[in-house]
Amino acid sequence: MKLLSYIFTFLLVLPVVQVLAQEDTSPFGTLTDESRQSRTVLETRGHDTTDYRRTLEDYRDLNTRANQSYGAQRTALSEQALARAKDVLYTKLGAGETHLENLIQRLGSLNLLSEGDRQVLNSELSKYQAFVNDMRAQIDNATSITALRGLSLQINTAIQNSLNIANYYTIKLSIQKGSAIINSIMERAEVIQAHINAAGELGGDVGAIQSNFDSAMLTLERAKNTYASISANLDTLSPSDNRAVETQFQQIRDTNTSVAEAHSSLKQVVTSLKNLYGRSPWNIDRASFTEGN
Amino acid sequence: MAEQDLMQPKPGDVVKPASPTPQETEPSVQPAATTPPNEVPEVEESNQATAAAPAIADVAPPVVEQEQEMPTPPAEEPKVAVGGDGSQQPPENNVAQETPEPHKTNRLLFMGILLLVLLIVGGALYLMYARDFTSPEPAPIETQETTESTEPEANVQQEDTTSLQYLQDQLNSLDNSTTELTNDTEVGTQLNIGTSNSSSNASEL
Repeated sequence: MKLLSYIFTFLLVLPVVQVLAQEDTSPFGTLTDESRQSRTVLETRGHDTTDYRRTLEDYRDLNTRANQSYGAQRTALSEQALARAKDVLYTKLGAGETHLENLIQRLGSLNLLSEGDRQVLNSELSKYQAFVNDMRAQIDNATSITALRGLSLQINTAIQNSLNIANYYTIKLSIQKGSAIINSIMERAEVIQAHINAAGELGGDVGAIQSNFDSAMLTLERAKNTYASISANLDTLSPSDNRAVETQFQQIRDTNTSVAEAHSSLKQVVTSLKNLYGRSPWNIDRASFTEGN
Repeated sequence: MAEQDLMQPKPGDVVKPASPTPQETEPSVQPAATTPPNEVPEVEESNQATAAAPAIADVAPPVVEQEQEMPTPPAEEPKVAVGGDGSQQPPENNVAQETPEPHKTNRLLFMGILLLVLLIVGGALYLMYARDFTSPEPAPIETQETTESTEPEANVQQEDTTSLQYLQDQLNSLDNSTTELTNDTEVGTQLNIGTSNSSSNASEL
């Protein structure tokens, strides 16, 4: 009888234990969440902007909850927020370093770096890494969010100085990549236009499709010219011409954004054509396009 | 009373031990048809009590056995056991006649608990399977989406570089490139360091 009562009790308790085990968060509050009391980021290397933004979001969530609580829970949450704030600065330092390393590697693979350019960038990377090592100790020793805010501004200045040098090469990289994207899209432009014409001849409503296609192609044409213009300007500048490089950098940012928007618009054009084709298929003169493709 | 009188030892009788001999106990468990000729069936004991009185008094059979093999009315049943010395035993000995009752109770309790356990296990299994059945598995939707995406290109060969499907694939293949293109020039913004020559004066913390 005792054995049966044990089995009976076990069967009753087992589903409850299983349900509790499946819960990701404890229903007993955050005070028992000891895993968040300590640091989760112990190295700066290998982090990118995605890691930084995720950690920053986590810190802000903790900080908000700490400000809304009181007593022992406020103390516990404040300690967690301080640990996570240090993680934020760690990932920020790491993301800056990763950006510089990737830039050097990608420019090298595209043969966009002369030996002199490589020395400039490697020197900048070494300088930044020395700053990171110094800053890590200061972050570890910080005991308040206020102290970490001061360190954050120092990090901003350091990264900005490195980016001023790196942006010169980022412009080169963008011109290369942006121009390749534009060429790839324009190679398909005539075929897309042929589909639009064929759909219109069958009575399809292609007014909006044609308008979007024209707008996207005009954008790409302007971007192509802008890339050429910036490339010419860059030939007259050096990486240390911060002001002039910054002006070119702002232009390249806008141009890159317009290329991405034109690409997205053309994807929508083809999707709309596929919908029309599904309702009323058409034929185009494929022989005139296959040679070029 | 007549039966009790018969069972009481008379002067001069030899009182035998309380444990019956094999010949004396066999009639109580053997069927009447297989009773050996030298044994007297107990059914006949009540009818021939006078003639067989000395033998019955020596035996003093257990009360339970008499009750099982003598379906006589309760008034005639020897519910009061007689000891080896002829004295009536106390009523406590009759409790042995009702021993089957606790066994039945335990059996019923066991069956009830077993049924309850089976119900709980069955219910738990049903809930587990019911949760699986209600999980949002979009298998039919996937099939439908595949059908929709391939339907417009049903008459077009896969190698056709002028097909809309090919054009769409080509444009989609540029997704990573365009994302990388914009991210390259957004590092400063994503790290909250400002976008101009002067770094941001506001901390993100």
